[in-house]
Amino acid sequence: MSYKRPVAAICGMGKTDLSRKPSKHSVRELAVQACLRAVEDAGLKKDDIDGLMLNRSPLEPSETLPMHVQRDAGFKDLSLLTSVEAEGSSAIQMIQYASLAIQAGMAKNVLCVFADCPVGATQGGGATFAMSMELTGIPGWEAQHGFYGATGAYALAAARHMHLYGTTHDHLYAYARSSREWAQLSSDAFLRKELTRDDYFSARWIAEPFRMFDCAFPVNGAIAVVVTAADAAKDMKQPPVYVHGLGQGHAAVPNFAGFEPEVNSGAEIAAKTAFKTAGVSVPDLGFCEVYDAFSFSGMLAMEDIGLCKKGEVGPFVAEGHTAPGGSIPVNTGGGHLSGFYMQGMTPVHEAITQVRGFGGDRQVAKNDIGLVTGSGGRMEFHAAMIVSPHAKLN
Amino acid sequence: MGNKTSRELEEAFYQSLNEGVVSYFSCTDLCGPVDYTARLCPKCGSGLELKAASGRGHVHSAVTYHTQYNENMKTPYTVLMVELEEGPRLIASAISENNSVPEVGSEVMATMKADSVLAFKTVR
Repeated sequence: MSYKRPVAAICGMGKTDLSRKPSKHSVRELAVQACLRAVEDAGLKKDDIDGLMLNRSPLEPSETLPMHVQRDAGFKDLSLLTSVEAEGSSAIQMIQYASLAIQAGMAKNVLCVFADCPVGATQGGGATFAMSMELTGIPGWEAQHGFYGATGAYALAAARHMHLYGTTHDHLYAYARSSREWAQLSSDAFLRKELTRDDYFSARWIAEPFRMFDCAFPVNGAIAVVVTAADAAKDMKQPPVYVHGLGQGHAAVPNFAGFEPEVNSGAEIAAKTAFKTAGVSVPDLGFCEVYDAFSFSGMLAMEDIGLCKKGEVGPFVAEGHTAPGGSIPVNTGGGHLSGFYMQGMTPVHEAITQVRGFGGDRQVAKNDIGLVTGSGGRMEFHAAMIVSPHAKLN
Repeated sequence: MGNKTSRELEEAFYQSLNEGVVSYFSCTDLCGPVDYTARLCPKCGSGLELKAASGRGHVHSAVTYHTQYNENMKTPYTVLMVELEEGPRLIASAISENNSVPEVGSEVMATMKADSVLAFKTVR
């Protein structure tokens, strides 16, 4: 695939208040609020928006975030309106499709929004995400065995990685601690207290090998970004976030003898494509924002994008490479574990913050080139993006 | 006869369990066993049929639930992903013996719990 480079730019970002309390507003209302804030942040007017892309949680029905969000927000005469349903890879996919549409002349300023309210009056986010996950496709099979939620599916994958490569609970703790150390520096993060070894190991089991701090911290809210042409972004209100590389990877590794879907994901294909598009490689990266609904999913992403060799992510994290002061900062806002869980928009939000140079105490020293990932399903659906404050990378 | 529909395959799978047999899906042509998610042969596009598995396999991975998501499932309980010796992998319940459940990598054998729920126990 050939793109004009930079592929596009992100010129606006809007976020509602994120909350652990039941929301007074519907998902739809939150989406509108985030969209309008993104438009304002970009220094645009509502009439400048000619594209809208929606992403709802895969656990919610389509009416939760209908295309009527357009009318709610008062966007008129759109030339692009759609919903992207690729689970945790959707946020980056929206930016990719928006970029392509802009390059093709289909639209000029495209809003991409994610909104979700998993925390309700009677249940926390954990219960919301605990639906049975169909691994066989045989109706009722997984529920019959009490196999619930993405938590179980990712716990199975972590256990497999532990068996194959000797990854340990200490390694999972090292990952959670690295995220927390970043979160302690971030005013956007929810969990900012030091995560001691005792805190981690004394927390309750959720689905072994995962304890509580291996799991994402769900919140209610919405985040939207505005994608525009690279040329247009340079004179706008905010520092431009140039998008140089984009890629998707959907490997469809079968659950069958000889295959290891638990430890080989399509993230490798997605990242390779993004690197190729941008004309850069792993040593060029200044920071990474990976989708990490569970400690292990972030760790696997690091292996698959090539920060370390396959099977070596445990020691890599334990050596402190990803933490503040390390060789390659990862999830500088605390990620999903300690920051907040807004699915694919969490890493996108943090990457934009870093590229703009608005990270405050958590601002990375080298923000020239950053890699962002998204993933969904059971490590099945992947997208990656390279971003930079510079219009030219090399 | 046409290919079995997805629903026919799934119903036949449950029916075989009611008869005490764990089955897998296999290509009606020559490609052999397929992943449980397949409803057509991913290699040649032919239909699938059920075949009886030996019931032997090994634990590919395992998770132990401590959080109760279903009031009928007393925690903690372990769910296995078993690789049948014919190749396909599936989720199944674990039989605990002497306070221990099959570990990842261990050889296991199929057995039926109440209500024809498939479970595996360690081969000794």
